[in-house]
Amino acid sequence: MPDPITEADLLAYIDDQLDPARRIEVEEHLAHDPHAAVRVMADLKDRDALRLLHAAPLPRPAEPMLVAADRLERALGWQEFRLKFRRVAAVVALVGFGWFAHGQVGLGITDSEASPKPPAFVEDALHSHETSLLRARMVSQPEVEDYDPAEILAETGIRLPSLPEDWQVRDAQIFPSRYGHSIEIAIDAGELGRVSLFAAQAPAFDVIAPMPARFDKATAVYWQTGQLAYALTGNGSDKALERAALRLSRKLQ
Amino acid sequence: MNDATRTDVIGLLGPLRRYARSLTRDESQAEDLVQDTLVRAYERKGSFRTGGSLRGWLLSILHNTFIDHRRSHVAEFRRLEQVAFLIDTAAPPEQESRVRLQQVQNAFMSLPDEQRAALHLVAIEGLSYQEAANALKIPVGTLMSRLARARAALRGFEAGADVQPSEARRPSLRVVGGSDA
Repeated sequence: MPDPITEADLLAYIDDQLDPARRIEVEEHLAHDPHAAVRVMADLKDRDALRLLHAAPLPRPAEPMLVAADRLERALGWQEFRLKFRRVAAVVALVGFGWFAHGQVGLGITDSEASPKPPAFVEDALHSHETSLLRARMVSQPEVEDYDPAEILAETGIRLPSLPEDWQVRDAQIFPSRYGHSIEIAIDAGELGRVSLFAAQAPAFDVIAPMPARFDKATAVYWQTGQLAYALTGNGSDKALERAALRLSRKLQ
Repeated sequence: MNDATRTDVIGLLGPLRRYARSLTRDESQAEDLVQDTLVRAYERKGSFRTGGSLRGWLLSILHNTFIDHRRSHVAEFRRLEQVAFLIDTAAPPEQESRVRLQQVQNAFMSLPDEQRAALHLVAIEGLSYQEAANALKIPVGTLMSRLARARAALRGFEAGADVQPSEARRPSLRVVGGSDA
């Protein structure tokens, strides 16, 4: 049983506001109710008469009206454009911020292809990494496994991050460097293999988020926090090295 | 270009002018009303929501402008109350049907303002109930009861020839969904 046909349905039928299924139900109803049908036909006739009466083309609008309409049209168009532009600008700003944050905070790892020429201390880090590998091979060069960050900090002013628990310090050496001391810590870093953590006093205050610098034999991921520059150098996977450097750099913040 | 049509005010001048004619029942007043509407819409352009219906927005502003005009010109409108102005039909068919059309027009023009506005937006302009209710800032139920009464009045006008529709017998149509002001 369909819903009973109401006055509202008849009204909506005349005004074309019903979906086809309901229209059919209304027509079914009208077929059995001549009284209602007469009334609906009269209303449809009036509706069509009104439409016909008002369908006559209007004379061309007066010039001031066209000017006012044009002004409004432009204003609305401009408004819409600005709104769209603002949305685009917001997206651009967000992307831009992401880019910035990416570079500054190190939300991800910066692509080395786009990275600038690494600072001089990175080269020092690379050399000391090679030296530590050499020392490791040489029996006559004893390695110092005692690693005391507090003492190093007190004596050299260089702050070192706490290392992951599964990292084993194999050697810790203090070298002279261009701007004071530098520290080279040789570490067995689990999956990363033998890595070197290099820390040195930097020539100028700066903040650099971890950046990879690839060399023939090794990759160094370097960063700087204020007066201190760091580099984690190793021969293993670049990505893993970058992640490790990122973790260390965060511990220093 | 979708953007061009969405802010096509010029293209909406026809509907606006027709609606203004139905409301004011006077050609030159209708043109003034549209002009004022365009000025007002420009001043309130910030209230137009992008993606909204430009037609509905403008029809609504036109209606408000008309109400404001009417408040300030009650006397003038009372004088016009007697006038049922004639719009030329596109192509007058036979004499007899022309007379019948004219009767419908006269009946339409003698409807109370609210009923005429509702009937114009729905029957002539083809707005949905919701769009028309939005343009008139009334609930859909109120709109439908105005439509029902307008239709009943038109029917009564034809049946009773010269009987004034306001004094015509109360339509047998039950008022649907909500009361009318």
